[in-house]
Amino acid sequence: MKHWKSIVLIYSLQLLLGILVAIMAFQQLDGSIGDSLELDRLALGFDRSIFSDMINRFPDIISNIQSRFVVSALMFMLLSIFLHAGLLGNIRKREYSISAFLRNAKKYFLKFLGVASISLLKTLFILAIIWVPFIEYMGNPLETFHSEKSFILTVISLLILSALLIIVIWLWSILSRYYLIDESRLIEAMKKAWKGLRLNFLRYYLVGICLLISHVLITWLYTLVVDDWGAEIWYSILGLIVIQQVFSIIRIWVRVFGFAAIDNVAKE
Amino acid sequence: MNKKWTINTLLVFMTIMGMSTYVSAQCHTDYNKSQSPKIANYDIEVDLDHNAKSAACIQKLKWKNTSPDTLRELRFYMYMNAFKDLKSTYLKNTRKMFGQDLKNRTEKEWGRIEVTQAIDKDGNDLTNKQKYIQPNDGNELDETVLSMPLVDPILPGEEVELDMTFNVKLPRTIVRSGYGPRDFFLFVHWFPQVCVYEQNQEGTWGWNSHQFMQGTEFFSDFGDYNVTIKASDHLVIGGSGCKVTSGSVPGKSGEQVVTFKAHDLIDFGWVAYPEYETYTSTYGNTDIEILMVPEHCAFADRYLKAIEQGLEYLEKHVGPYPYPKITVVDPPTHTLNSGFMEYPMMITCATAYGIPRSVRSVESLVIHEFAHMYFMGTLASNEKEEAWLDEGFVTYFEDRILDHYHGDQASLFDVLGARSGNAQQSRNEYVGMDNPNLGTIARPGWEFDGGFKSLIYAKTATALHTMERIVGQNMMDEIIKTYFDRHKFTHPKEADLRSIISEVLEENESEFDADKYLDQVLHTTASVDFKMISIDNATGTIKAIRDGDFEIDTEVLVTFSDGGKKTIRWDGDQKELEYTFKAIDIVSAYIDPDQKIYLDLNLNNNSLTLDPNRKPLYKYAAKIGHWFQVVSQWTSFMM
Ligand SMILES: [Zn+2]
Repeated sequence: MKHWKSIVLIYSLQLLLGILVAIMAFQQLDGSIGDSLELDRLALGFDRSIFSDMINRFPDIISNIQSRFVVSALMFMLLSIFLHAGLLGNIRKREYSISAFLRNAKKYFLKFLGVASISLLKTLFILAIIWVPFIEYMGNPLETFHSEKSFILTVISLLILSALLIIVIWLWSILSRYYLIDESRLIEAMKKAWKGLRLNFLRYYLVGICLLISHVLITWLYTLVVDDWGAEIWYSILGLIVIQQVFSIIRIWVRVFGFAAIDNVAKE
Repeated sequence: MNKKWTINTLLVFMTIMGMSTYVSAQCHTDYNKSQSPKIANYDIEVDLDHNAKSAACIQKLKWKNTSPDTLRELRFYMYMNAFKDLKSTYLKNTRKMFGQDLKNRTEKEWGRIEVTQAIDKDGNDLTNKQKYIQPNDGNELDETVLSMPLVDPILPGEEVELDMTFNVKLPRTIVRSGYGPRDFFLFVHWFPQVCVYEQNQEGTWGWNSHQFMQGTEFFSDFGDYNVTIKASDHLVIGGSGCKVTSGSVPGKSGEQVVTFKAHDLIDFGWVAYPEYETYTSTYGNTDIEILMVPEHCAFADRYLKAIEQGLEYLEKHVGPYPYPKITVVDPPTHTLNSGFMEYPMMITCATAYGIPRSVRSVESLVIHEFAHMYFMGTLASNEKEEAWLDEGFVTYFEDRILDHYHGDQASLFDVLGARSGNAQQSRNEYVGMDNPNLGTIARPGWEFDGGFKSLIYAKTATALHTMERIVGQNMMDEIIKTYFDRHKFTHPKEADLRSIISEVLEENESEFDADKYLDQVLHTTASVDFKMISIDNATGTIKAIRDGDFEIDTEVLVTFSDGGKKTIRWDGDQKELEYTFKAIDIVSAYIDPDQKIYLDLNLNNNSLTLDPNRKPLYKYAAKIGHWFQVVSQWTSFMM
């Protein structure tokens, strides 16, 4: 993978924010049960009573960790516009260095901010069109639906429909950015992106679907592997962290791979 | 163990074909049919009009006066009238139930019951002088208790017979009793049922005849039931007791007649729904019938397994199941508010399409309702006045059974590394209350203003777990077995249970002060939270306190740096503990190290260590940090 430097950069920034969340979590847990012998029990595996007693006594733990989590996630979302500017610039221009990454990031950040905002608005619009009528119509789901099977299947179908439509917006969003890098006029680029997407829709869409499925699979595989990893010895903690980080790098690698695939289709 | 697993389509087939042949008994017949005093016995003929959601019924009542008094009145529960309007005591302060707005109901959606005739042996119609009474709250608009003055008094030991007719109209289900869409019917609390003439705690005889109020369920006498239901043949019918005959009505197409017989029950409930699929099986001496909504059929084996485990465990640890059969009803989702309930020989459960096997809320509920067959059905304590004697023990056994078969750390759910045992869940329902000192357990249901389930179910169960951990499971089992054996079919009260506890503890020379313990659990709001405060190695002193007024003996395990251990006793009446050792190398101190006192509001602060094992903290911090990576990967896609 020629873009490994970009992957490492994105991963490092994400990891940094992750570490900030983890430190907060550690401090909160340590402050509430850090000198209890119950830790020995917890080392053997998840113990519901330890967590529920802790939360009953220190209800703020959850909200403290949650707010750090949300703030960091929002930060990374904003940061991602910058990172995508660098990454897509490098991919489009066949550049591979960190300095080119930073130059491109700086150059395209503002324009990408516009594309990202429009994409978000479009996504919200699509979600509203699908879900608002459903929620309005639903009333009491137990009475409206013949059975909960049809209710659950309807919800799942709408979720899939939402995902399938959001993939289109996402593809358009990425293509717009590539065309922006090519010709630098926002409206033109966005129009051209629709046209390009229509011309080669199936191939683009295949990339989107693969990316979505691979992310779902990776998350599922992760929960399968680590489900409840014990903490009896330090090596098991180390092992857990290594596995987690391997998964994280794979995720980012898959994303970069997907971006490159879109670029390839667009170049043809 | 003899398992048969068949879809019982024969019945449906025969009725569809309009054959007037009757199919034979569904239960085996060789069981003890006279275990109870048989005070209240009912022969009821029901004619169901499924379009009008009502039934016209004929009831022959045989009631025995087992008191030393001469009675000039009979009293009946008329509980369907609780759903007559919003003026009944049950609903007067309720505008919403199970998320359902009750204000805008049409007349057709309310229920009611009325006795239209009650003829005694001399031909007198007793309905002339009948009137509704309100012994609890004087709310004259409440018609849930009917007083029927007699022309001929009933002498002590005498049996009275009444030929009654009554009409019952079901409400659109508010809670439990009622009708739902697509011809779903649950008939419970549906016939004029004689209240209990009993000797109260002070020794005086009188009617125990409470109005229907929230937080109260069953209290009635044992007897035999013979219930014949005539209904449209598109309905699949199940109920308490055994189906003895069932078939079409000769000369009448589109109708069926089903007869149920049951012995030694305190009540009778039945259900009808066209879509039910019937699964039958036998476990030991017990027939199991499961009525499943088609889309829930994948859960039939989970229901069955849960019943089998309940039977196996309760027969071993409480006593033999006294009835030949159990019917399990799966409520359709559109009328889920009919579920979560027990009736003698019949339980209603609840499930939802797609609940994975690792989430055992389904099994937990089935086992809970089935355990009621012992405590609500057979011991049959007064659930209105002493609900904890039923729900507390039932929750305790729900915990024990689930934890026994599925492990005490993950019996309730085990999803993505988060898991919980059933007893852990019960304990947390109590210790996680906003105010665990909200009120006492031993008081009538209508006196509760919040905290009913947390106290009656969860705190009682947790207190029983605590007692079990102190006296040992064998002695606990001996107590419960003796209690069940001696008091089945007798409506035991708290005093009966406590005298059995004292007797068994005394026989086993136990030092446990059960009276002091149960007085605190049941009649005070006291709670207990042991806290290890400090370890001071400058002086070799440990300090601990007990928050809360609940007095209970415990011990503290102190560990020293050379690996040595010392256990010190902490008497229940001491609120504080300060202990100085000669050695000054204390590493940790642990109050109640075996966690016997499961009632403790916070188990985490029972110990203090100067050498904490921080590994799990790093593990969970890493997990949370990694979940951040996952979430931020997903959320940043569109940016
Ligand atoms: Zn219950």
